Amino acid sequence: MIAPEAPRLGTRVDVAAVRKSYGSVRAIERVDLALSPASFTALLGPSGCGKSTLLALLAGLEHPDAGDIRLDDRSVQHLPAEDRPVGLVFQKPLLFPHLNVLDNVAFGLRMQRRPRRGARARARDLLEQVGLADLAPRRVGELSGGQEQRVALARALVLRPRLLLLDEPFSQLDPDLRARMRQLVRTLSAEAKLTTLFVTHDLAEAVDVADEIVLMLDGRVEGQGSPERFYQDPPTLEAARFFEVANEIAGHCERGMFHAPGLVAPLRVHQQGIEGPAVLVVRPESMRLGSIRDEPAGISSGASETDGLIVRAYPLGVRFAGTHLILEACTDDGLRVLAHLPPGTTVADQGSVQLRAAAESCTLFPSSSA
Amino acid sequence: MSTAADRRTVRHLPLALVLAMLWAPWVPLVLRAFTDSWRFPAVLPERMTLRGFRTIAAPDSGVFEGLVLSLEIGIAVSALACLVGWPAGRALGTYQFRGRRAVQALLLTPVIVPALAAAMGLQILFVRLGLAGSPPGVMLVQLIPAVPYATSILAAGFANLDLDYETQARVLGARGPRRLLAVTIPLMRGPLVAAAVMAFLISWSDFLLALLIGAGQVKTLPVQLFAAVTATDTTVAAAVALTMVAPALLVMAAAAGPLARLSQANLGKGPL
Amino acid sequence: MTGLRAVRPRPVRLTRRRGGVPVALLLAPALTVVVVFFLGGISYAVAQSLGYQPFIGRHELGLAAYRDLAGDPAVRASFILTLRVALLGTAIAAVLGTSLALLVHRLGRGRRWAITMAQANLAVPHLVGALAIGLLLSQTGLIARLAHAAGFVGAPRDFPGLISDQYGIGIVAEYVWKETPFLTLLALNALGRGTAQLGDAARVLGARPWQRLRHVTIPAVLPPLAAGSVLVFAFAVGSYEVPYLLGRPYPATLPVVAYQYHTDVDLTYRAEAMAIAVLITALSVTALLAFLGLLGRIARRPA
Repeated sequence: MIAPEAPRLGTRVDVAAVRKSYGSVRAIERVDLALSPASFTALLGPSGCGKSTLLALLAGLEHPDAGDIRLDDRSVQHLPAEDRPVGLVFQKPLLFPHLNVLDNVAFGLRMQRRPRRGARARARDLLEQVGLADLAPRRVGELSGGQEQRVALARALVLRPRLLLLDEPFSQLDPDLRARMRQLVRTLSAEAKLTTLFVTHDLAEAVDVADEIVLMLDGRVEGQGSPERFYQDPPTLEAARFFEVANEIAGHCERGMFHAPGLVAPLRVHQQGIEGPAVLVVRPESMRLGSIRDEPAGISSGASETDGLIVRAYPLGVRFAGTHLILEACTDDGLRVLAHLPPGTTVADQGSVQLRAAAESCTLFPSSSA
Repeated sequence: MSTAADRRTVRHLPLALVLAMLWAPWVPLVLRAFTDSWRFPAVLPERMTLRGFRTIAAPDSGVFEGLVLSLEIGIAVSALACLVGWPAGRALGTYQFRGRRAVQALLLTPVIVPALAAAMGLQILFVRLGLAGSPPGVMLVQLIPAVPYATSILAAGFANLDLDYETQARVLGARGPRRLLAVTIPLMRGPLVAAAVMAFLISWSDFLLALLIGAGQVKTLPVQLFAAVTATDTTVAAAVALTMVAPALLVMAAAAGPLARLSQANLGKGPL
Repeated sequence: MTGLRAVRPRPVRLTRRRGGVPVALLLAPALTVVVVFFLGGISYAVAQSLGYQPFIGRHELGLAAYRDLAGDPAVRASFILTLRVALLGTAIAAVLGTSLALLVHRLGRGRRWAITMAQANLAVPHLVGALAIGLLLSQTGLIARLAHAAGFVGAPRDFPGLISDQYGIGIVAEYVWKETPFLTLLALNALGRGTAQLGDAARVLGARPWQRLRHVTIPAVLPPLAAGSVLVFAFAVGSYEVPYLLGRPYPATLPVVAYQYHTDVDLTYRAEAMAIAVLITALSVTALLAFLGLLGRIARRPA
């Protein structure tokens, strides 16, 4: 079932309206997803959000209750895992303990009854690519964690899959080794023009490795896009929270204005169609410290609106965080606000301060979705 | 027409057959223990009786004394095996030392090699020492298979024991014996129970060593059962057999948890 | 969740002994039991088999007992019977145990119950097993009665002699009955340790069901099963009560002959009894060495 030649241009993957339940537990509520050919996508989400189930469905280890999975517009639904042109690297290396490194890599080819000599030659090529050619005759028990996962990677790639799935493959490795392994996967995937889906629960890892992020929460795809988009314009409040937009200000929208306690003045709303209860989110790094002197004339005397966000708050403390200072402050209503300030900033420990953010860095969500 | 239920039945048929095979011998054994007359072709017993169990309970039958004796010897073997196995298990499970593998191999041999030759060789010495035909003699010879089991189970337990607990206890001021009682033994409860149960069952099931060293004088329950079986009073024999199985099953059930965790760490059949 | 994730086993932590009681002292009691009673007993048995029998005034050493053994037709028949019964019992129990483990392992909800059912015989003494098997399989046993009820046999003698028969069928049946649960347990343990995940990994790599059985399941089950089989074989070779109760007086298995010679009023038989005991020991040691050799081979075998 596997194409004799690796596809040159990569494979397009479509997941359409897929659902999956285990008994009464709904693992995947409904997932629609499109991976463009030769793209590198991170499937990001907290544990238990259904991302591993989605991977199992793509690999054919599980079968969806409804929906369709297509590779290059051909459904693979009817194909069992052993016939799908899909490679999968698990969280654990799962190397066969009774086989040596070379025969582990050659396993898939041997299952297709390729002659041993040819299979081993091809396996040796792959080991070369992951930089482990020297370890071919070793027993798998003698490998380090990073070596194990490189062997698992070579083992998955030996069959020239059209889609490569990685299920938190490096989560058991040391941080700097993880970074190097991610680089290796990216290189190999790009060389083979592989469509790749990398599952992780680690935001930093997803941002580091992928061109595109699919965020999954509670069995649903919460959004898909570049890492920058998730940071600057999160699609939902939940997405904003997952991407650590720490400041949330609850209020309500009325005729194009956002009102909330703690705001020095109402904020002009640029987003269309938001009325009623709403939540404004803003990243701490977008906040800066204002002072009474900065204030445009008129605001302190009760201006009717502002174009940027201005919050009056009482500083609770300042923490040094290496590249910046973290100011924690509290509004009159007890709302906690965080701001990242340049190092060296001094904050008056008496009285109130003004924290400001540009309108573009603020995002509003109707709070029915909260 | 084949329904899903039919298909499931067919799928599980092999399993049901094997399980039935494993359970089949219990049927005639249990029936026989309560049967007085059961002549050939009758499939079911003709007359039920409690004669077998009454005979066992009778003061002159010797079976009851055998039961008590077996319990005594079993408990003594169990306690001694744990006492001897504890320090050795500690050494093997906790410490790295030269010759560790050799010691492990040496301790494993009695698990695999039958104790028949050793017991036959020892018999004449035990006669000289006055140990033959006495319960202590039987107990000593039963330690040959019991100690290696207890040691290997405890060694596996110690290997899994996080020594930092002991360090913590020491930092908190618990001295030697206190530390042992308050920290190490409670943490090692599972392996200790498993080792004790295994050693007890080895002694409880042993017939040949008791026969060779006991020389017909030490009438443990297995010796009594063997006599009952060869005496062709099958009703009494079956009743004695059930009497012998019951405590073993009780002990196994009581220690089900620790025994289940034994798994691979302790290769060996022992009484099993 | 699907079985895509599992915990890593905690590594065994070994430290060097610092201060305190020396390791040798900790090991001393256990080693004393094994060295003095076990090795000492075997050595004394070897010495007696070579003719060292001070208690009847014999001190000259020689291989007379072993020569007698080789020339004794009872012993030769016994040797063959013992080997056959032990090998057959072990092989059948291994096959049945593996099958039972595979059947139980694929169960869903009923698995715990089935495991309990399969293991209930573990703690039952062989003596009890021998009696129960006799009551089941003898010519007046339960199966013979059922066969009669079904019209297959008329009188007890029409039913095939499975107990005290010349092939040792009853003995084999008891070994199989008692040891199948033990080997099932070992196989189940091996299956439980991540085999399902390895199976998934093999599936994604294109392995079909029988290929997964051949390349994943069997390699995982084989080493513990082989180890268990060695134990079963060694036990079967040295077992006394089962062949005594379920076998014929002639040919009898080696331990039965050994005990018979050992207790003979003619003390000159003693040396031969010891020689048979040494032979039994040698058989089980051979099985052990063969197993260790096999283990080394399995470990180095390519796909």
